[in-house]
Amino acid sequence: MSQTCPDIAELEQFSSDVLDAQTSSAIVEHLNQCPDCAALVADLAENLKLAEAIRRGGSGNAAEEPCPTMIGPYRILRKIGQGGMGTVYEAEQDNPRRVVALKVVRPGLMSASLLARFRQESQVLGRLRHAGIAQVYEAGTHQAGHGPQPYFVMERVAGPPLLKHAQDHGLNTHQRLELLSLICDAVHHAHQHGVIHRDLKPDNILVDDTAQPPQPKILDFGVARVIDPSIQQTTLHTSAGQIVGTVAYMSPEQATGDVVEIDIRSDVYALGVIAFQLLSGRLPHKVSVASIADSVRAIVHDEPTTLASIDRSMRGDITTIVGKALAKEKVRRYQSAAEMGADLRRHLKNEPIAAHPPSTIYQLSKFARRNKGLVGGVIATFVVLTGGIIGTSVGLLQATQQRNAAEAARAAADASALAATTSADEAKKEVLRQSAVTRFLRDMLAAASPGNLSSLEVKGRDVTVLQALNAAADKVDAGSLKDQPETEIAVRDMIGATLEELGEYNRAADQIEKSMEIATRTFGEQSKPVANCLNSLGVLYGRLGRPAEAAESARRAVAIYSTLPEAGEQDFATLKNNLATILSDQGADGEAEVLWREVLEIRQREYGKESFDYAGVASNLAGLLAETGRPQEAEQMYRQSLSVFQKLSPEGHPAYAKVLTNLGTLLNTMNRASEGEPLMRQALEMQRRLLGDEHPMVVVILNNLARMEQGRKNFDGAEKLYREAIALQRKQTGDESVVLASLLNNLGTFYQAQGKIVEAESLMREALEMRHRLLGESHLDYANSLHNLAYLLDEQSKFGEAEAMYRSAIQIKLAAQGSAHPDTATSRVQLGSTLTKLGEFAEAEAELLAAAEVLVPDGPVKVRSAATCVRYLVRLYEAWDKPDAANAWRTRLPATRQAATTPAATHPAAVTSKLPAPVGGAAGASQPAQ
Amino acid sequence: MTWVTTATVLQKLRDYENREAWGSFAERFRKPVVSFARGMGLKTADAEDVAQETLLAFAEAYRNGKYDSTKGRLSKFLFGIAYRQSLKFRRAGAPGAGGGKLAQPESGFWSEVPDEDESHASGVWDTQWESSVLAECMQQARVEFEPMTFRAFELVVREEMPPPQAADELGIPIKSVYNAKHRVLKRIRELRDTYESEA
Repeated sequence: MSQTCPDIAELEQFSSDVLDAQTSSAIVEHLNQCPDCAALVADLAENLKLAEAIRRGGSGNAAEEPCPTMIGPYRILRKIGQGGMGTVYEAEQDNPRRVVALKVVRPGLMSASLLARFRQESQVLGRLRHAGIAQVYEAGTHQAGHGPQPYFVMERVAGPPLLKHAQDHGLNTHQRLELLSLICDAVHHAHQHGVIHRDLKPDNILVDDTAQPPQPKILDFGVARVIDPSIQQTTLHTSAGQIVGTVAYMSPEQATGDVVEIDIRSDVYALGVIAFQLLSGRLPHKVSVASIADSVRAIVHDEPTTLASIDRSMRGDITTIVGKALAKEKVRRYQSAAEMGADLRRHLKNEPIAAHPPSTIYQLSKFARRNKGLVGGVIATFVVLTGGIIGTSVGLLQATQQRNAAEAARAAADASALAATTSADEAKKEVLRQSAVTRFLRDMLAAASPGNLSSLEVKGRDVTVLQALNAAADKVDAGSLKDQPETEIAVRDMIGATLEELGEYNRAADQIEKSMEIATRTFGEQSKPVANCLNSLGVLYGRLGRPAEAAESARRAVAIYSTLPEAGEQDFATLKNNLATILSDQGADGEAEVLWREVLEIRQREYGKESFDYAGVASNLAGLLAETGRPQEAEQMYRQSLSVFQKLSPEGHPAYAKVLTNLGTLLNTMNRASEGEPLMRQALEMQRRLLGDEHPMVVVILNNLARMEQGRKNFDGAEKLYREAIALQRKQTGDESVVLASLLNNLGTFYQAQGKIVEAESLMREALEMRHRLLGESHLDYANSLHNLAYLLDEQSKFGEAEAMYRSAIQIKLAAQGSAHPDTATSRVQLGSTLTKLGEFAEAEAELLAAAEVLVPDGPVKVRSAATCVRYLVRLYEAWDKPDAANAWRTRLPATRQAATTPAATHPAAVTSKLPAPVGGAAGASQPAQ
Repeated sequence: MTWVTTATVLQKLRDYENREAWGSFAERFRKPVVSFARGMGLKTADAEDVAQETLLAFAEAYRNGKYDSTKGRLSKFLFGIAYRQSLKFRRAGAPGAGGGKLAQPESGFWSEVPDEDESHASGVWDTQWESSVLAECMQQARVEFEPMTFRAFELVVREEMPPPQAADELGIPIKSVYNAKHRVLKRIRELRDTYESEA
């Protein structure tokens, strides 16, 4: 070593990076020439790490230290906690007499200057008086053997930490949000007194569940700063497990150690993480013991996971609120805990939240929810009422969700999020576009007052959303946005999506078609906006009973996405899921199954089997398996989906309830109604609890339960349930809606089975007319109503009228789904039967043989629909006096049924009257034999 | 006092009859397991039981050749056993089951809140393991150094006293304090490396 070598003290200070720049650079220069000193510096750096580990770990015997009997004037009762910062005791105070929590800071953590600060700041903490804050009664120092030992005396809170409380009490989302709003209040109170927590996390919030309602209480307010002004110390002195616990809730500015940047918005960020965890059970960023550095990097640089991606039921407001609290930049967060609390309360009251970009369908849907009575025809568009069986509702829901998510994503004026996927210029353009959409929507809603809509049919003083939307659509049609194609697309998408929610499918399709025209002109055919429009149109056409166009649109959307380099695999999967749903409705089950299995694989790869996304698609596939005669496989798949929901949302979830309903219905069809009923009842209770007594899904479940009771011959119970569903539906949507038509139809078929023909006919005619008015005369649901009514008329020997109706139904079905669809064939079977009774044998033969080609397999007939067709052929040929042909067909029947054809031949209706033919939606009518 | 590496301790453990070997083994590993179990929310008596069960299970596994040092570190292997044992005791301590009882968590800021999450437990274990290893190493260093040298180290590292103050208290030059700190820390690092060496 040369004469000029720095001494070891200097080199250690250099290693600790505490020297001034000039001295440091001189040492660097020296180190370049002196290998001995360079080696010593490397050694010292290692020593520093070790010294830190020794400080952090102490002797390792802390947990075994005996309890002191007294600390200050407090009598120690027992130790109730132990951690890196010190020890927590339950202690008793004499005056006033009370039990307190006494927290002793570990010796060596505080210097003399910090002790002074500790005394001063603890007085501030003592002034924090709020129901949501565990009060600091006193802070002092206790003379222990090794010098002064600081301690805090705090209110002793009897209750579990926040997450445990939520889990133990099975709180639903609403209750969790209420707790969060109370926590926001408490945090805001402290902020108003100039106290920042800096270490907010679920374990620092206990819930006093002896209070009514339960009161969250935040512990250790301001303690982090009192003990350690450079919050980093909090992590240095805790165990690795706790480091993770602490880092996970740190704002980016805390994680980078930017102490001067810490302010009340750092607490707002922590509230965002707490909300995220309380609502989803997960953290928004990956943090791990293995790499604290990676965890910090994730917090600082990675976009947090969105709540909606974990739990779709959180999409919309909740995701927006939590997302805003978790914004990387402080200016983009809520500027106070009070703002966040206010938004949570707005959401709980179904009012528009401040954080949400208003330029979406969102404000309208809020308006609609608060003014249910005003909104004619709000129906659950995801509900498929098919002869009492709910189909793959999750799939259809995803279509809406996907569009809503896209809408929300487009609308999110969060430049930081946009910057991740677009250039700064694009982000700016997006924000400007959204501003334009926002203005348009505001203008529209402002204009939607009775005074301003005098030209429209305004009943009394109320203006319906529909009227407001029509006014908006007129305005756009008049060219108010013709120079802003992107804004026009966004506005039309918004109007279209809202119209769809209102059940105005034709008008909705009109808007989206126009949107697509503009998108094609502006971005070209092979573009994402065009694909999104096609996807929406696919769903809408499906609802409009135009399956061929629905499939065509959905196929094109998938094809375009497959060519887009920026399209994510999950978006692609969602589109494929929608296509599968449409194809399945059309009877193209083979292709649908392939698609669903593919989507299932993608979901599993991306999110794992224990995810809502996987469970949703599994449920869809299960529906298909059930419909294609594989009930055991379907049951297995439903149960798989169910177990995911049970695990992820033990307290319930709307999609969970749907799977319960579907499985219940399946079990019913498998003659296991006693197993199915409890599931349906559970679903009903869950939906009522989560969504309220009047939610459309409640109607669906009531309907399905009614079907189940009907099957179990509990006719009184069934009738009561049908009536309850109908009353609920009328309350929600008035005397005319698509769902109401299905319910009337189902009750009609119920009466028909009871032999109450007059009541049945009246209800079926009402349903038929309603469908005609609402859906038009080429809709499959209308065709199904025709089929059902024709069947009833045939039973009353009104063959002529029945024939006409069957023919109309078949015409619609042929146009919509072709002759090879079993649904079309079934109507032809019934027409053949009616024609037989009319003596029109040749025509009857033509219809029955055409149907047999579709329904009757080459081998023995086992399926009831095929058996019915064959039996009608036997009867036809017997009536036609062609015994050889009759016998030839009779041999195709199973032995047990062959004998039954003869006596029944004179009363063909008696045979089929045993077969349920209630028709509600697109898929049910086709399979009376099921 | 002779410094014994983990490899030596384990080697002797193969001999069932060697009671001394069991003693060295238990002395070395009992403490981190007890501390870990306490960190998992168990009472001291239960934590001691967890340690006993864990060490027995480990010794059995080791003697049967189930522990392969090339497949993972000893501490992780031991953790796996200690974690399962702790969970077993925690479950046994659930209301109505008799046995141990969980410590009531008070505050996350202060306490190790009992948690069945393995990553949390793993964090608790790492801390306790490191702490235990360092305590052993410091114990060895204490006997190897002059008392003054070791005291200087204790003052500036464990008690975080500024070096000038430590120099005053001990009546030695500041440079000597720095040197003492450096020498002791370096030795502890060496001891730690040999301690953890398992082969």
